[in-house]
Amino acid sequence: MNKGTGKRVVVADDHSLFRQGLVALLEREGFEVVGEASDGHEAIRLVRQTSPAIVLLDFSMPLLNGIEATREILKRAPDTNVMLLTMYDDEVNVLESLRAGVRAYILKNQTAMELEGAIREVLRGSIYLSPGISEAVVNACMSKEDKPIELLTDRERQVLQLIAEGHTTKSIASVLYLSVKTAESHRTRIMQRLGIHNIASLVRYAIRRGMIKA
Amino acid sequence: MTRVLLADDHALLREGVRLLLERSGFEVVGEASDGAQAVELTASLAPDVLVLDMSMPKLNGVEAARLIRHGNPSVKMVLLTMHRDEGELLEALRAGVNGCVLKEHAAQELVHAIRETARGAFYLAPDIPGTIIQALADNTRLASQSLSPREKEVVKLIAEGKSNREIAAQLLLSPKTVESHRSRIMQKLSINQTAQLVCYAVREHLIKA
Repeated sequence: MNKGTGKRVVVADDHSLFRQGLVALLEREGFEVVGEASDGHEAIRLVRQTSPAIVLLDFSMPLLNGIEATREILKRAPDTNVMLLTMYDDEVNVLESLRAGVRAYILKNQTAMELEGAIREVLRGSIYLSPGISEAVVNACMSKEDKPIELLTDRERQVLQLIAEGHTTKSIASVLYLSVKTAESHRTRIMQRLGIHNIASLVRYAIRRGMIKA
Repeated sequence: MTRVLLADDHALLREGVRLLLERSGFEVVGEASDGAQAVELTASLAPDVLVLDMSMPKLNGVEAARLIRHGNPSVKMVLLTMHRDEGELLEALRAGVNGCVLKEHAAQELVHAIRETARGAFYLAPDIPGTIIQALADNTRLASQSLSPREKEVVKLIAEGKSNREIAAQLLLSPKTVESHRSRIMQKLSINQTAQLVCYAVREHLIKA
């Protein structure tokens, strides 16, 4: 039975084994997978090329993570249904993901059937959260802690992830299609805004904010 | 047909991999979602090959492999892992695992690993450090496992963002000595960037993020 009704999907995850398995499951259910990516930048490109109804993104991907990729995707194609997939149920950034415009946040320990259910919910216009995640969201809402002030712009966060992954300024410029001079000035401004002036501490900041995994 | 048992705590990964393996001609006889279940089901279903995830609840991949190998000398085991952690992989091989594949590798790699181990060969996916084999053969420790206490101190201070000069002052060494500690550490860990060193320090709990 063709439950997926040929809806077009782009899938992004740097674990190829997982991604390929997911594609096979989606195709079996009648979805049309029009693109596969292994990092956030590739995901953005594919979405731009194929305009899918649904994008399944892993939360932590190299070069550009799921939340930042979501922001970029929705800037150009705000009606895209972006769904984040994650291994961890203690993600710091559930609320941040929702604020970024994610329509679903799904744990990888859910079954394929539950994933399909989530996709159907999202296509109907609802937001879907894995049961394990809902609790984290409620706790975050109830918590008296202030929302961490966002000190950086979208672009600066994209640069920061690359710095934290060990990229040189030249490489950062290349990945983001910037001039080296521009990349350099982003780097300087990041350090100024965060009040952090060495790489090691920048990396630890990125780990704390969930931008990269140690 | 080769009979395979899959053990991984992520249902989505299990179900996807099952589909891919069935298409490649394997018979998937069962699925386990934690290490303890992996041990039980290997005993009751007697698969030819067990594919097991390194990080599972109850018993991790290495612990499960050890128990299984103890009770079952002939089953082949392929470890699935997210990290190229030499120490972890070496431990897994010593526990009796016959092959290792990273999750970032394509499904074809896993298919290959299952086929190779099923016919009695050993399989390490291509970009897994070969230093492991040497350490296994020599029954020695890996260089990466033997950071001296002093070297660990230096790693911690580098990860805290201290300059060579500051580290030298704190440890009462010359900056040159600090520099040479730093390069030896990088060499032992096979890394060449501060960013990677910081991640190492956080992972090994030498420092909090």
